[in-house]
Amino acid sequence: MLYRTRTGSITGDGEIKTVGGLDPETGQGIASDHWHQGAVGVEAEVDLGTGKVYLRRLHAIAYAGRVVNPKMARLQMHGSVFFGIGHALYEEMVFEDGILTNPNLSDYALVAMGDVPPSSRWSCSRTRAAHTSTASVKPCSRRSSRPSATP
Amino acid sequence: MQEDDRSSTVTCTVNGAETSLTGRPATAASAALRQQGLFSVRETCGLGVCGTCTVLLDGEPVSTCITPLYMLEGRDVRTVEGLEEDGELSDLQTQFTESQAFQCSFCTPGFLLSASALLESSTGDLDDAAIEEGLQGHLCRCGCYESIKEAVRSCAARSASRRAGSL
Repeated sequence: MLYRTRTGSITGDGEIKTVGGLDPETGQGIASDHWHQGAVGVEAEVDLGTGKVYLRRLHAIAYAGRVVNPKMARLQMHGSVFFGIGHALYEEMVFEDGILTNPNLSDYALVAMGDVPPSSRWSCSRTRAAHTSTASVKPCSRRSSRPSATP
Repeated sequence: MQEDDRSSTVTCTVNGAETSLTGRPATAASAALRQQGLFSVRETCGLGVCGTCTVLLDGEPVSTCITPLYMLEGRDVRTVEGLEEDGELSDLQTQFTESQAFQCSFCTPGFLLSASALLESSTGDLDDAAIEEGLQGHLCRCGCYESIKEAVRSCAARSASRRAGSL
């Protein structure tokens, strides 16, 4: 994907601090601080007239450690990617004067089947250095119409 | 579902058996069907956008949360409880478990019914675009779309080859 866009390589650094837990008094706070290392690259098209973003290709990889249940690991990969697409493009809880203005599934858009990029690849890696991984566990690729470049 | 002087009785076929459903005519059909113990009919959005309350009405998938009870009069209703064939899971149901096409499975009955209607109406192989088109009205929060597509695709290919064999 990077090769096709002639971007060269992209390196990212990040830090995440485990914070969270609900206040026992109010029940409020960050409910979940669950996270894993992973990276996703997408090829997107933007309609300049409407601003709508179309995802054309996607490659996702996660540092998953030893995969015990490949079927469920695959589903977790898929689910996480769709969640990510949703958060990046569609999902937002909109508050006005403290009132949620999109409290239903017609105003709060979830990712549906047609939002999945037509060519997607997913894999779980056992090693932390995902881009040099040789121990790719059960690469879960779907039929892709075009050959996919490796990131 | 309240029973009062505005209640009326609707007679329809539910999973092959003649059934009387009682309730106000404008009651959501999903509530009336759940009253019959058909808990695969699951109401989520109440707006007809998520597909979890889908049943087949004369073979066509409909959202029962926005279908009033009186519309069921004389119709043939099929829920996922009626998909089995002689006590065995249908081909599609078996394929769903083999492809692991669900995680929490809350949306699965809806997907199964729409997919079986899709398979019923298709004559050949189903491509991804046709499956997406047919199942676009269903939401799966776990994001199992890829495996659902895979399951429907395998079933379509199998029934296409069966048809070719019987010719």
